[in-house]
Amino acid sequence: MTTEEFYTAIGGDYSDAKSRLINDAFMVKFIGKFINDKNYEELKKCLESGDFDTAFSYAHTLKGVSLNLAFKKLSEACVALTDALREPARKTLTNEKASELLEAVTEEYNVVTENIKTLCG
Amino acid sequence: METLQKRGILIVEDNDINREMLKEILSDSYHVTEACDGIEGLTKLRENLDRLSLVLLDMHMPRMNGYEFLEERKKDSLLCSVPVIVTTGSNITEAEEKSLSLGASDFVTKPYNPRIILRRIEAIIRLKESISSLEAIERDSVCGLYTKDAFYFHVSNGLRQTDKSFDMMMFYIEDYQHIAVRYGQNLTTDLIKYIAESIMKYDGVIACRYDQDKFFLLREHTECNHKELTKEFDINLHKNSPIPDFSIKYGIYNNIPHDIPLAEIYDRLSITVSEIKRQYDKNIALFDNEVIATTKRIRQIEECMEQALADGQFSVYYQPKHDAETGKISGAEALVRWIHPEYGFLSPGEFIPLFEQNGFITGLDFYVWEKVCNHIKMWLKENIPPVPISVNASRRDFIATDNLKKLTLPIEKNNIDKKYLHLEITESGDVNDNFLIEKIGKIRDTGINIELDDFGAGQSSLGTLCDIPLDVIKIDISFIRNLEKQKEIVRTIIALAHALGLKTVAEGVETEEQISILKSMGCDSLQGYYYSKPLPEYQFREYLKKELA
Repeated sequence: MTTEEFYTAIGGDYSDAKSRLINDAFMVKFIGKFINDKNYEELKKCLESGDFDTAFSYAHTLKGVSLNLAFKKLSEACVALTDALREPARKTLTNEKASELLEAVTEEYNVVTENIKTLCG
Repeated sequence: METLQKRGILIVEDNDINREMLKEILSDSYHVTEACDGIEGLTKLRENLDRLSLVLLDMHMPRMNGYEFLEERKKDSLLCSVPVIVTTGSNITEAEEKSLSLGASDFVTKPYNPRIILRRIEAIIRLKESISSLEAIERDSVCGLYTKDAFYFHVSNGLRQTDKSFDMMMFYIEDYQHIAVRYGQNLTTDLIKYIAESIMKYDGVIACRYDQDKFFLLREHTECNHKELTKEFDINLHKNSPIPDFSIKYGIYNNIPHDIPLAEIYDRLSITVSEIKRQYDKNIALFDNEVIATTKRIRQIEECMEQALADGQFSVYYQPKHDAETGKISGAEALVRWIHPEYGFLSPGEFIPLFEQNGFITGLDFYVWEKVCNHIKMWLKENIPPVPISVNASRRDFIATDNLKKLTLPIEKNNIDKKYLHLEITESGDVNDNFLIEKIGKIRDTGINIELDDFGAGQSSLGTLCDIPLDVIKIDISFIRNLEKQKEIVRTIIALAHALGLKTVAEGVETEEQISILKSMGCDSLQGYYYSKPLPEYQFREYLKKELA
């Protein structure tokens, strides 16, 4: 799998990645690291326990990382969740809406991690 | 080596991927230090302060976030010396504004674009470094006041832009070199810092350290009693000073004119202050218009002095000294005279102190020394037996490293006996310093006699007589003028000199009565108008011939 094929498969922005992420080796190295990033797991735990405050932090960081790696679809899902978790929007956020938004993130997150396994072997 | 040459950047970012990405982007050009949150960031910033050129700060972090980091940094001006660029995950302008108001220099947004990040970092570091180097030129490294150049810049700019009246003041530490030798560099530096701090407490003043011993201050003119205020300042200054006995001379110039160069104002103030130099009862001098004439005169003299030396406008006159016992000529003092083609006869009382101040005296002293050697050689050639000639030396002459050579060379060149040459040194506050004593000792070792001029005047110390290698002391002219009243003092000086194996000379002798008193006291030689005024060489040689016939 090439990096271009990877980005196509996950709904990423390959041209953005290419313009910013120096070269293929750099790209692969940091994409590979994403597997070990704990933000998604922590985010999920917080939302399940209803801790929106801490959840915001993780969602925000996950958004930043996926933006940096040009994981377009994942970052868009993260933006939606982060915006909902940010004050003052958080005040009107229901648990149902939160799980719905998390579900969208999870879907993209799984696509990304599956493909990383293929890319990095 | 490489890490020394690269500038240091501290990345404060909690997310591993983001941080490592930044590190990878930066490590080609910078030496990177990492921190995972604000607390660790502050610690690393403190530890590596002198190695860091920039902080790259994430806003969203556990434990201590970016805002809190900036708040903490603000409390410590040292930490503020390292600029911060904030990395924001979002493009919310409110967050950016907030970080800028907390002292961040710039921000970059995610996703990271290496080229943009590198360019912003470079721009901020360059800006910061150019400001710091400007500050370094602006401020005196010891005391933090403006430097001479910065003061000049700010004052001349300021004066140009306003019609307000200003007063300029000059503070001058007397005998600074002497203080530095006596108390050492550390205490002297403390004194400078202490004076600067006291100056900064003056309301509405801008000030600079002009020379090591000189400060200038500018203040908007107020109708107050400057003399009283300065007196009060001086009293307070001496209360907690790191060095107890120092003296500052204050010059005050009210309503300085805006239409003349600042350098001229400096000069006028320097002259104002120099007029109370060594006057122990006066430490504050007010500028008045007479100073302008003096300044002009000094300029005139300084402009033509070098040409005068080259043109031979300076000539040597000789004032005979006579043996008190036999009445026969026993020596002469060489005195310099300046006859300028345009200004005519210039008084040594005017130009000698000026030359001593501007350093020209050294060239003139050696010129006189050489002339005297030539004259002696000439007299010998014409079979006129010479007498020892005393030549004045300024203490500045001894600073020249080759001074010994400069003294001995003309003697050797003319092949004359060293016994014909005496060097007259003046007693002053710093004549005691070891450097000078050593130099004088070396000269005396060659066979040149050393005379101590003006003994008993000003800052005489009996200790001087033991410390400096001497042959003769010259009793200060003021004692001879008041001989009747100060008879006992003169008698004691002569007895003391003799007890120490030194000869004595009295100058300013004008009457028979003075001669008989001095003779009765055992004074060895007498010099003054009673015998002769100073004579040009052609007359002095006749005097010699007649005396020795």
